[in-house]
Amino acid sequence: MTERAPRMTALDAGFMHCHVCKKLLDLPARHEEKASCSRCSAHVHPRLPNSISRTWAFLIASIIFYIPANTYPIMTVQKLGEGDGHTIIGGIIALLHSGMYPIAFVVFIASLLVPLLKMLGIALLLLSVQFHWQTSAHHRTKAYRIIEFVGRWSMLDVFMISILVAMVDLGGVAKVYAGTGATAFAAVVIFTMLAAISFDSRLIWDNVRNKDE
Amino acid sequence: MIAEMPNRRINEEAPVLACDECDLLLYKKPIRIGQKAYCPRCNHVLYESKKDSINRSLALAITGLILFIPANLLPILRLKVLGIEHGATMFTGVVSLFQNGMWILSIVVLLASIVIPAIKLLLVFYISLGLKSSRNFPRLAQCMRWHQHMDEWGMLEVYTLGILVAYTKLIGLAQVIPELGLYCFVAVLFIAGFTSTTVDEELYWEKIEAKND
Ligand SMILES: [Zn+2]
Ligand SMILES: [Zn+2]
Repeated sequence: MTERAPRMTALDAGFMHCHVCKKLLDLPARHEEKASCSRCSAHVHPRLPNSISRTWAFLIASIIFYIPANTYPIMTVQKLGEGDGHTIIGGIIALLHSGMYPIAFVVFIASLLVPLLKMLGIALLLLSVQFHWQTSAHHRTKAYRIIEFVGRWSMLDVFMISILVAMVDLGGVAKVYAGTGATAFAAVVIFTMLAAISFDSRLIWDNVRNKDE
Repeated sequence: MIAEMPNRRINEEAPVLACDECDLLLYKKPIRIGQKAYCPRCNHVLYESKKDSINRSLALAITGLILFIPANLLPILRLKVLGIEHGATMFTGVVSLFQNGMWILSIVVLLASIVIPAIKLLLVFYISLGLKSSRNFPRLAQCMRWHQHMDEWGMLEVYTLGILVAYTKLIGLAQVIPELGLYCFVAVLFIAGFTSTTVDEELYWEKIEAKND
């Protein structure tokens, strides 16, 4: 197992570590200097540059797209020439009506709850770092890991629609079309994933510095 | 380029590393095969030793690449209603979206469910082969760098859940028959998942570095 070196961060000791290949490198002599890794030639920064403002930008973009994602239909089911648009919530209600409770529950979590909690979580993490909240860094790191992990699962509806569109193509009898809401929803998922990636979790720990340990 | 860190600066024998998530500086201790090293402060997995990593990864990548072809070309589900039959492959899902005019959505689905998982398997194949062979394989470090990002954006497991939801939505309305492509697809899903657990990134980077010297 690993053991603590003299308790300090790499930054304190004058190092930075490559986020891609994990090699430990010397900090560049001048702060502004651009550095690339000697092992994998990725750009290396002691902390991700402009992490907070970039994360806010992606977060705000995802919040904006969340509105059309929920108000526009994600798909239209056409039966014998008559169209019928479904929003995300409409789709969940339809599943409930047909008695598919477990699947309705899964779609509810993946498409409604997860994106909302994820956006809220990222906002709270950002605020906690910006305003030096002294909430447990352990809890915040755990929250960040969960956010990073669950984000992709919200793509569920988008994939489901792509399969339905391909399968239900029975000429005049029945046909499924994807709706604008689906594109907006995919944008929400991608922007929240980008927000999670741009957030530098080390900022959480830089704040607490030995208090919380 | 930055100069490599002289290890002896902190301790004569032990190499040091920094935690990805909290930047704590730690001594690197050798671990047994199958073990993981955790950060004592934030509990992040620092590194993991994997058994016979290169051979296993190579074998899995080859199997996955072979199965990828039927998984994409054979129908995954077939729909039977009012005497009309219609099968859907993963690729027709993308094509139908594109014909719908939802070209952004079709590109997102194409990337997340087909292109990125395929590139990931190809990269594992190329890098593992390169590390086994004594000949010079160009751009190994660059490939490994790309490989690092593929896990974030490949969404095979989410796509599988999408198939399941689409299936339950249709089962009440029509006869839905799972096809051979579905089984190949599930096999690819598992193989792609396993390759993430067999690639020992630490070992791969060390070997790549040694090869480049
Ligand atoms: Zn590197
Ligand atoms: Zn840590």
